[in-house]
Amino acid sequence: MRDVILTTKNLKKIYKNTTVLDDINMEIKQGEIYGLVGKNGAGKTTLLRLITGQAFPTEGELSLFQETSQSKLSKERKRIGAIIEVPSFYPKLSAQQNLEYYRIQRGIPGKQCIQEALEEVGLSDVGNKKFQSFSLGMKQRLGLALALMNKPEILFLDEPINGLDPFGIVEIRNLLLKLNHEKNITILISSHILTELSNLVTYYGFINNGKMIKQISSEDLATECKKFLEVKVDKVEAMTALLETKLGCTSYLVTPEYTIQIFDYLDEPAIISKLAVDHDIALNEITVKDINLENYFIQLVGGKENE
Amino acid sequence: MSKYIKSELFRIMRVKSTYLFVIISTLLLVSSNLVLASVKLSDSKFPYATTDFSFSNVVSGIIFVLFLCIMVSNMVFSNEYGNHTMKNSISFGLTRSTIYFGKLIVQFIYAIVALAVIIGVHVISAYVLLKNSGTDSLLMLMKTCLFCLPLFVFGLAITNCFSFLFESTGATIASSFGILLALPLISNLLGMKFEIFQKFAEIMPYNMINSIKYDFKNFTFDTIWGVDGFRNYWSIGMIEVALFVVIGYIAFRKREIK
Repeated sequence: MRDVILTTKNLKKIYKNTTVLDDINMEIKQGEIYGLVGKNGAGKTTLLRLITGQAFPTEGELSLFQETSQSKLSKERKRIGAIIEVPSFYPKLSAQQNLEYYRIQRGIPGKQCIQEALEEVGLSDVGNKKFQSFSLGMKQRLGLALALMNKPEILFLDEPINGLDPFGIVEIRNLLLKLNHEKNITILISSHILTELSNLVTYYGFINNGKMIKQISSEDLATECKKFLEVKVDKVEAMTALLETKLGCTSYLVTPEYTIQIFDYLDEPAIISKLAVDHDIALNEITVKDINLENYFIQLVGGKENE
Repeated sequence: MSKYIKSELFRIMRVKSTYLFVIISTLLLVSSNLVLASVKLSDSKFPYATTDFSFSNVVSGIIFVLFLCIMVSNMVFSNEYGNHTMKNSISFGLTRSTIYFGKLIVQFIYAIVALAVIIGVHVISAYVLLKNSGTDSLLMLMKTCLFCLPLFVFGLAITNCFSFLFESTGATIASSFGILLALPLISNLLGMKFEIFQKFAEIMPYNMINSIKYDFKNFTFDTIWGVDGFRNYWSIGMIEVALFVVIGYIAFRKREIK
C-alpha cells in the first residue's frame, strides 16, 4: 500500500465573511499525479497556499507526510517543491544567481544542482540572463527548476504551463511524467488547460466555489468519459432486451432522458440500427458521442454557470 | 537562520545598489575634505582645513545616519512583497521568525560594514588631505558613534518592522520617517505645554541624538543624563529596538504571504 503524503480534513478558509474553501477533504498518495481542476476563483490557489504555508487555514487539519503541527509541517515542507501563482524571483539577479540564493538558503550541498536543474527545464543557455528580462514561459521553467532543486518528494504546481508555447508544454509534460515515473515524485498540479491534464493525471479533484465536488481516478473518469453510441428509440425497454438477448451486449446505460448509451459496436452502428428496424422499433437517432474532460467538468460544475 | 543570513548576504553582495549606496555616501563625505583641502590651497590662512574640523563636522551631522538606516533596511528588505519572492522561502518551510530576524541581522551587518567603510574612508582622507590636529576629535567621533549605535539600530528595527507590515515601500518609508522624525518633533512641541510629552520627547532617538551637547574645544560631549548618559542611551535604545522588533514579529507571524 502506498504512503499517504498529503491529507486535508475539513479544511476551511474564510476571508472577511467569504468562504473561499469549504470542508476540503483530500488525500494524495505517493506516486500519484493529482490534477486539481476548477474555474478561476474556485479556490485552487488558496488550497495550494494553505498546503505550502503561505496562508493559514481557518478550520480543519492539514497533514503533510503524516505531520500536522505547525512546527513539524515547516520541517516537512523541506521535502516539497512548489510553484504557486506566477513564479517570482529577484528581478536584478540572473537565473543562476537566483537559484544559488535559494540553494544557500536551503542548505543544498554542491553547486552542480543548479546547472542540473537549469538543464532539466531547458534553461541552461540563459543562466546568466537577468530574471527581469525573462518571458513568462522562461519564468515558469525557472520556477520549476527551483521546485526541483532540492530533489522534492512531492511537487505542488499551480498552473505550471501558463505562458508556455506548444513545444514548451510538451517538454514540461514529458519532464513531469519522467519525474513521476523515474523518480517516483508525487505531483499535485492545477490547470485550466484540461486537455493537458488528461495527458498527465492519475487522480482528479474537481473544485468549485471552494468545495471539492468530486474526486475520481483517471481510470474511473475514462470509464465515465468513454465514447458511446447514443441511441434514441421509441421502445427503450424492448431495445435493451434485444441488445442483451440478440447481441449479448450488457455494456450500456439508459439515461433519465430515455436514451440508450451503448459502449460497444462503436465502429458498427449499422448492427444496432438493423436490430431496431428488424424488430419494429422506431430508431429516431443514432450518434457516436463522447464526453471529454472539459465537457465532464462543465457538466459537473453546472454548464449554465459557465456560459 | 545561518543559512538564511548567508543567502541574504550572497544576494545583497550581487546587487549594484549595495555598493552604490556606500560609494555615494563615502564620496559625499570625502568631498567635504576635498573642499576644505582645496580652499586651503587657494588660501593658506584658511583655518578649517584640519582633521579636527572635519571630524567635528561629521559629529554635528551624525543624525543623518539615523535616516540612512531607513535606506539600508529598505535595500536589504528588497521589496519582498512587490517581487513576491518571500513565498519561495515560506513554501520551503522557512519559518516567519527566521525570515524576520534574519533580515534584521543582515541589515545590521550591512549597516555596520557600510558605516565602517564610510567613516573609515573619511577618516583616512582627512588625515591624507588635511592638517593633522591629533586624535581627540577622532576619539570624539568614535565615541559618538558608539553612544548612538543602539539608536541607529532602532532606525533599522523600525523600518524592518514596517517593511514586514506594509506591502508598499512608500508606506514603509513614510511610516519610518513619521516615527523617527515627525513624532519627536511633535512631541517636542507638545512638551512645551505638557510635561509628559516632554519626558516622552526625551527618549525619542532623534531627540536623543540631537540633544547631545558637544564641546568642540575640548572634544568632549555630554547628554541630559550626565554621567549616566551612555548607560541610558544604550538601555533606552535597546528597549525601543526590542519593542518594535516584537511588534513587527507578532504582526508578521500571522501574516499571509502572496
